[in-house]
Amino acid sequence: MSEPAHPDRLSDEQFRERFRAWLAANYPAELKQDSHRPFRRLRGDAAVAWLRRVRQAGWRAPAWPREYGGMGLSFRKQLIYHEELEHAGVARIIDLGETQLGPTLIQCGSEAQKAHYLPRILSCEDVWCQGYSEPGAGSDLASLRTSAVREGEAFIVNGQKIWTTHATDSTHIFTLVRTGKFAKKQQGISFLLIDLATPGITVRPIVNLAGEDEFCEVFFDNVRVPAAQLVGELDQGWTVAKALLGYERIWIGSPALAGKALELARTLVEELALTNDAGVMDRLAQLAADLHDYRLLYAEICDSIADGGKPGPDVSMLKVYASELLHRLTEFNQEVAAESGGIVGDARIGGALTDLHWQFMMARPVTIFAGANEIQRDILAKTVLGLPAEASARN
Amino acid sequence: MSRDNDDIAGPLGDQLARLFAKTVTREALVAAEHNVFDAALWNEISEIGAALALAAESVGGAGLAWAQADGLLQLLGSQLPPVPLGETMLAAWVLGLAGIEAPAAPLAVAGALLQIDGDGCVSGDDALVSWAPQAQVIVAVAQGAGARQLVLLSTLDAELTPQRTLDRLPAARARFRGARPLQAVAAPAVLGETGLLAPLAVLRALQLAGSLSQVLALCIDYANTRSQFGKTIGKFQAIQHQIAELAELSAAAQVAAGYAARQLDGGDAAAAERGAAVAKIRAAASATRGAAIAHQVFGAIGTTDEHLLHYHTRRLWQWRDEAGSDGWWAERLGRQALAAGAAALWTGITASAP
Repeated sequence: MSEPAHPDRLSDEQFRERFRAWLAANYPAELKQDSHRPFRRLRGDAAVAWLRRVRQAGWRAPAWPREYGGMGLSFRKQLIYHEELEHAGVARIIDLGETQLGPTLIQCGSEAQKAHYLPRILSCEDVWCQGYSEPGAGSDLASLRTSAVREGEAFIVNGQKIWTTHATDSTHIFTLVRTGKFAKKQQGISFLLIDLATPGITVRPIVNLAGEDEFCEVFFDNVRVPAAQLVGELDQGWTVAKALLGYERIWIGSPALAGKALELARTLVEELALTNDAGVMDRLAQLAADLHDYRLLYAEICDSIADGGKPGPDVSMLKVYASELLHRLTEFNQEVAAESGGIVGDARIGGALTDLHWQFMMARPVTIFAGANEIQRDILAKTVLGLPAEASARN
Repeated sequence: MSRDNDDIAGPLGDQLARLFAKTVTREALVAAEHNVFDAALWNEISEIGAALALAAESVGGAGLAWAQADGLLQLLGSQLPPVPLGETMLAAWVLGLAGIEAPAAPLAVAGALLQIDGDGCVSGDDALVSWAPQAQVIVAVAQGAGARQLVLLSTLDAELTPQRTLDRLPAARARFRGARPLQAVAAPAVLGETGLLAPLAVLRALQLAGSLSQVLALCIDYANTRSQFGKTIGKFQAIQHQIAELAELSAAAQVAAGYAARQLDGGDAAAAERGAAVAKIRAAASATRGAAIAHQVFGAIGTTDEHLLHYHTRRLWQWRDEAGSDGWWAERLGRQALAAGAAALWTGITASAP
């Protein structure tokens, strides 16, 4: 009874009930986010297995138009979809094929690219990672230097990408590469699709300070990429990539993780019998109030998009606020746990079993990746508030 | 604790700084995190006499005051020698006050107050004792029917449950059930009702202050080196402001830790505990914000295992939570201030700093 067929004919609340019922019946209980692992995520085989199940039932790719195999949901129903994932405790999955490449191809790809790649993304036959950052081009992404030189019917790619999330789990990478030199460095960048099995590519995981290998380096040594793998116009890759940045910031800004962290904060405060500690309760109340405010801000911005608007530069606010709130929440949880806050791995805190270290470490890079918060604040100052750019700054 | 001792503290600090600069390599830090005790480093430290720097001359120590050893103790945070030198110095100091010569070995310190029964047997738990898995002796304070006792306990008589910690150094939950101490004497007067927790908190505050000053130096260096948007990132005000704040946090931690060191030297238990509370609250708050700033300045590269930054920031997070968190000490300090009444507040703040 919970197939999503024709979601357009369902009211928002009917749609919510259907999806909630389907998740309740189908999402494996042992993979749920809970107080033990409130930020649980799935990657590799476990992620693929779940996404295939989602697809079979017709719940895959909520934002894609139906002609490409997606659900074609309105933005408001997409929001409901994400809220229900959060409500059911479904682990996070970084599926850049669905959330980034697919929409990019639908907007800018050739018919051949769409016909070939979109179905393979939906079936998880191809798993994509994103190759944007380089050692010398992080916040200053437009300075990227990985080069692609046209040679007959192919591009020859040389250079290095870094901070590539889950490259070891992926089969393909979508990249920004330099194909020309212009006065404005955003020009001369192209958007290129590359099969990671191509000779000349080396992937090396980077172990982070928590001992995990979420990020990778990807090296290109004379890698031959068919010219047909270029998405959009030559030298116009910056525009192609930027088209979706606004949407990326909306999903990154989701209050879901902060919500899970606050749930755990409440559990910890109760388990540690700190409910009579005015200092602790004061801070908890502040965090709860801030999350409440943030949910309203998030809803307001999402509503304006649902009403036909496009994500504007003000979505940078979401990324800044959500990431810093997550910092504060994970710090709070670690601090109230006192000595247990210094424990790595599972710790029993009162009656609750949780892994504070993993949460704390997972929250560290959020203020850095996908455009450091300093960059987002610059955008807000210049574009939203109209403050003049620093005289010496280039852009 | 004469003024002449300043003449000892300086050269001793210089010697240690040179020793750490030579020996505390990335390999040494990694080895320590894989449970390998750096015996060579410990032997060199012992030969210099650093382990007994705070112990009274009458028990073979150098008799330095905490305030005189302030800079030396901060080296433990800025250079991160992966051995229990701070704990051993603290233990030798308190044993010296009680007229006992410290065992010539690395010592662990239990901050929790244990219990001692009429037969002189010790029971109790400490949730986290740093270095316990590699030490033979744990120094602790146990509350008896009458006075508090300073006790030396064999780790063989403890039930140790090793804990994996943020700093990845040896640590364990220690449980004592009727353990007979190797030695027991009346606890020195400077130890109040929180026992060894106060001096341990002062040690952690000094380590935090040392680490923060080093993190500040690393951030300044990186901001002047790393280039984005055609200039070094240190030229951006957003980065300058964060580093300036880090400098404030580091300075505040140093002042507070130095104040606490002087209170320990004063010998009054209440003042010593107040100093410990002030220092731990301030240093822990500086560590929380300071580590966040450092990671923001370093960006993605600072989150990698390859980079050295996390050897500092993981310890900042670890020491912040040990020996009483800032919240725990703040509540205690607040209760004492309220109990003393409004009239005592201003005189307490202004008159207690020697």
